[in-house]
Amino acid sequence: MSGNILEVSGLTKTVGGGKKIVDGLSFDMKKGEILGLLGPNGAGKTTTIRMIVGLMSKTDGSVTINGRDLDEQGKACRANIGAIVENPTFYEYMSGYKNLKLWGRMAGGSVTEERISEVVSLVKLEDAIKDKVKKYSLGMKQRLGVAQAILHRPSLLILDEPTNGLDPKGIRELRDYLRELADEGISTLVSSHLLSEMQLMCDRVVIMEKGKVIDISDLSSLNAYGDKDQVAVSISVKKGQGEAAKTAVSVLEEVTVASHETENELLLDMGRDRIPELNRVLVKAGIDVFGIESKRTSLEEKFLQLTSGKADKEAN
Amino acid sequence: MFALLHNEWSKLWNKKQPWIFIGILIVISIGTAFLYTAFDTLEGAGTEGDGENWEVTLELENEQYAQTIAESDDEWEREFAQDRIEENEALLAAGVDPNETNNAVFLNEMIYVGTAFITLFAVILASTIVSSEQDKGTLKHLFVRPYERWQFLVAKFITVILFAAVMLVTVTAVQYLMGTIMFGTGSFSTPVVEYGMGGVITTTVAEVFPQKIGLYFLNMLMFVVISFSISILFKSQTLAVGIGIFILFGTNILQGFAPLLQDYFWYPYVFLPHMTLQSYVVTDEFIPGVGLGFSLAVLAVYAVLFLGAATAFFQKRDLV
Ligand SMILES: Nc1ncnc2c1ncn2[C@@H]1O[C@H](COP(=O)(O)OP(=O)(O)OP(=O)(O)O)[C@@H](O)[C@H]1O
Ligand SMILES: [Mg+2]
Repeated sequence: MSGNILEVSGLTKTVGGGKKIVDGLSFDMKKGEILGLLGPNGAGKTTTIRMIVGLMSKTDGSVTINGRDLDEQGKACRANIGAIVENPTFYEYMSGYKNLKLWGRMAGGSVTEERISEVVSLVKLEDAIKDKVKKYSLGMKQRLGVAQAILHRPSLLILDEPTNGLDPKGIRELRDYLRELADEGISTLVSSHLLSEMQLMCDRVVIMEKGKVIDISDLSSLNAYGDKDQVAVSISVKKGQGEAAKTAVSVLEEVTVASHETENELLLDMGRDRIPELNRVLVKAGIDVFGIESKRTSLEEKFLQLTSGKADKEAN
Repeated sequence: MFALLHNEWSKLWNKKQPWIFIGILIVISIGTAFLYTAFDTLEGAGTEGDGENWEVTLELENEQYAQTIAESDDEWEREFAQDRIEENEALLAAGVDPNETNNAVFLNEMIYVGTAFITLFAVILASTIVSSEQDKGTLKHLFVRPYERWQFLVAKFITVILFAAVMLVTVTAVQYLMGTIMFGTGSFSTPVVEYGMGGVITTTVAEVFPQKIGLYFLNMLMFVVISFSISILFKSQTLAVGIGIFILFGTNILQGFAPLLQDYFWYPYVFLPHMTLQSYVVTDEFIPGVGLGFSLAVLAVYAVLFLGAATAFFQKRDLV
């Protein structure tokens, strides 16, 4: 057996009218990995998660959790999962403690009183745990949701937009906690459209759009910064010379114009080591350069490039 | 599986709803006792405490009714008088004093006031126990736990039945208590007369009361099955409560049409006419050839169909 906690292959969901809201999605997740599912609104993240946890039937493809096929051993698969789908939901007329108690009972007696208090202090809800959930703030519910998801010590955590409603401190704590779990070998699949968030939280991200995987990025390499790396370069030139600059730049190979928003600015995607060459070309073409600025391609830019580029191509 | 039942039971009692239901039933049971005394003194005015004279009173009444029959032009009035004569004759024949009351007689006569509300409350609970969790979004977080979906349905269904049983015990206990306080202790072997569509029978409390309760419970179970299934199939609690209550009243209305419909061969195979099982206390057959066994068989088949369809649908459907 491979060391993968989760294997998704060719996952497809077709809804009424033959529309594919998830389309041939494939990715693997290693044990102890924190994998991000990143995509704009409506990309199909929640739908993917629903199929993985068995809330929704899949039209095609397969899901394997801890070596078990979801279709054949659904119950055993779910026993290994702790999940928040879309948003955490509770019995609002009961206290947070009673909610956890109910949840614990469904884990077949493995959740003790000590485990409940351990989890409660982990998500820092000690003060509110005896209050009815209807009095909780959004962030408190989110914390209780995390508590509920990890209560029975699952080996795979699936959290749909867990940072939604959390304050910066809460986000940081969640991040640290997920990292701690990862060190213990517990894997987390986390979805978000907050890119900067994902950059800090995840080992890898699956970028999806319109139900398809458009990129799987290893963030450790993306965060590193070397001479050969692709960077985003923004050039500001004299007003009115934007078009000329674009033409001048076009002689350079392996340099692409990412966007050309205003008439005196140009955004390029290129290797960092070629900036001096770019400078020479611009000067030779008689363009007045006010500044050349290079930024490391953050996930955010990559994400935006990937998704908007794709969208443009489809529109044309 | 037991964990699920335990959870459902604790979720139920953490809500206000069941306490309100129980509270209303207690108030109704107490109120029934007062109403009963009010009507009792009204009816028996002048003859109260006259232990020997009740037979004379009944005979006098019958003479009056006989006169009504002779004089009245109103057919309904004549029919009513005829019915009363038959009832009084049955009382006389059985030696049952209609003014004699004790806790056993009170309980036996008035239990159906409370149970009408029990059915209503059971229908409401059955229609909301699944669909409210769907509306609040808690259902999806149940489904990600290592159980089969039908197990949640079973736990919820049993919870409704158990709660109905608790309501029934409450009503019986409070009415018995009120009966004891207001009418004194009496024997369960007190002879009583039961009136029904099929006529009048003479029996004892000990004999007839368990029949009433048993048949009532089976009947209520059927209402629960229907509203529970409909709330799942149509994903709507309002529709389920509505249909439940519609059937509740609809069965009574349908009884009015029974003479028109009962000649059709399909009539006995529709579940609606069978949903007044309590009438089997006094009747053996509600239309010729259709007895209790037949009714139960028809209802059982429908119950299996309803629950089967609901479960199959629930197992398969995408939860959003
Ligand atoms: N049951 C359904 N029937 C038809 N279309 C659906 C259904 N559920 C979702 N969709 C569509 O599928 C697409 C993906 O929805 P999904 O909720 O998976 O997106 P998401 O990536 O989670 O978005 P968000 O970031 O807004 O949460 C959307 O366009 C949505 O309209
Ligand atoms: Mg979503």
